[in-house]
Amino acid sequence: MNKMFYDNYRVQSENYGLFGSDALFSTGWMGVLPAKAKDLYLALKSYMNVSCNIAWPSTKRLEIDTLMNGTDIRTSAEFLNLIGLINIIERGSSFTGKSTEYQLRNVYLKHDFRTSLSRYII
Amino acid sequence: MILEPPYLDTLYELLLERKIKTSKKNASKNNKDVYNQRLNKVKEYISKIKEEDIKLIFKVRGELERGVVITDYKYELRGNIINNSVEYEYLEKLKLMIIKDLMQAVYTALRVSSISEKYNHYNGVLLSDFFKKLEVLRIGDNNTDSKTKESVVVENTPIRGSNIQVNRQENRLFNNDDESIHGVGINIPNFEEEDRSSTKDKVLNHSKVEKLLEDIEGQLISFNVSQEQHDSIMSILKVKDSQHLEDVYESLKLLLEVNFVADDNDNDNYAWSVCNKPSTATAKAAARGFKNRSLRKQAEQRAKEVNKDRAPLKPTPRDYYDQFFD
Repeated sequence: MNKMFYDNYRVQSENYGLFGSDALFSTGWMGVLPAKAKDLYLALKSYMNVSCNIAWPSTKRLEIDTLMNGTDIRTSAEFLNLIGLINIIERGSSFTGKSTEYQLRNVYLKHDFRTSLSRYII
Repeated sequence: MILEPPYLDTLYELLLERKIKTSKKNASKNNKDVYNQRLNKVKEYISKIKEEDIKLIFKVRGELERGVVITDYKYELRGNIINNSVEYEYLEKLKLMIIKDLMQAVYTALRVSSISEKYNHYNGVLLSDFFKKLEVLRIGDNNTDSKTKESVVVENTPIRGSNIQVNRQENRLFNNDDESIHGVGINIPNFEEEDRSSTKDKVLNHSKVEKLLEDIEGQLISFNVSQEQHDSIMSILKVKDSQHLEDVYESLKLLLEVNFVADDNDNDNYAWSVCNKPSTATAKAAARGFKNRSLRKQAEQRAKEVNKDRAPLKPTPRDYYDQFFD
């Protein structure tokens, strides 16, 4: 996905309390997400670059970490993208030899807005 | 995920446009049936969410006092049981289950199908559609609000002989600080004030006055007022209103905070003037002035002490050296 395209909506979506801190447990998202999507989110988080919230692990690496199929990983990544927890910046391909780049977005409550912004500006 | 109707509708529309997996090896023949079932389930849950007006607002752990403990999050670490349970109310838990089912249904629908090329980046499409719909809704809401406000606002014109007029007069007399009254310049003597007020109010006022008098007595003692003056002031204050007493109490409180001492240590006369004509503004100004003066005095004293302590400057060899060239 284009970064510029999403940035137009990023500020708006932050105002609606969509993304922010990494308090998945405290917000209660953990109780709601499907197990495989949850695992993938946490696995991606371990490979995340903190300055830009981007992770680019290969599918093989993720298969080893999460003990899932390639199809499961693909579907769970799509699911997270659809919900808004992940933003797929660039899709990898066998021609380029590049893995996909995932941009992780943090969840936060509405009253955490100011504190979360200071820490997690993407 | 935003659990609002416009967002959920666009999500459902996007799910409908996905292609069902059939070509790959792993794809089973039942994919089409599964996909349709999940889509129906998604539709059901969306309608449920709309009906019950469920929102994805989770509460922070430990905030709720009463609730059901979910035991899944308990675990052991080095012999200690760590309780990471999230406590929700029962109704909230039910709502949560609906959201969970919806997410599971969406997940399985995604698994069975694949992305169409048209919606390669559907997250952005989803959000943009949602915001467009929201804007439309909001503009509509604003218009309706303005209309309703115009219709609702009705001027309370006083009807002749009604109780509204009497009450307004009472309020005007009671609230003398109101500027509108001074502008009009009407001061109607209210002879029947005591008769109109109910017994409850009388009792309340009485207790309030007694409490205030007790407090003021304590304040006067701490203000270093002589006993004769104290008695004379109290005899006057017993006749006064509750509002007058409140003003006295507040002004004395402001002065005592700074440990106020009048000029020439004449606190008796100062207290007399305060109790006769109390005003918080003058008391505040006096307290501020006293505080500044005292601080200045302290600074001067400190400077003097420092100068005393400091030894006189001794001539350095440099000074003797300079003398030759003068």
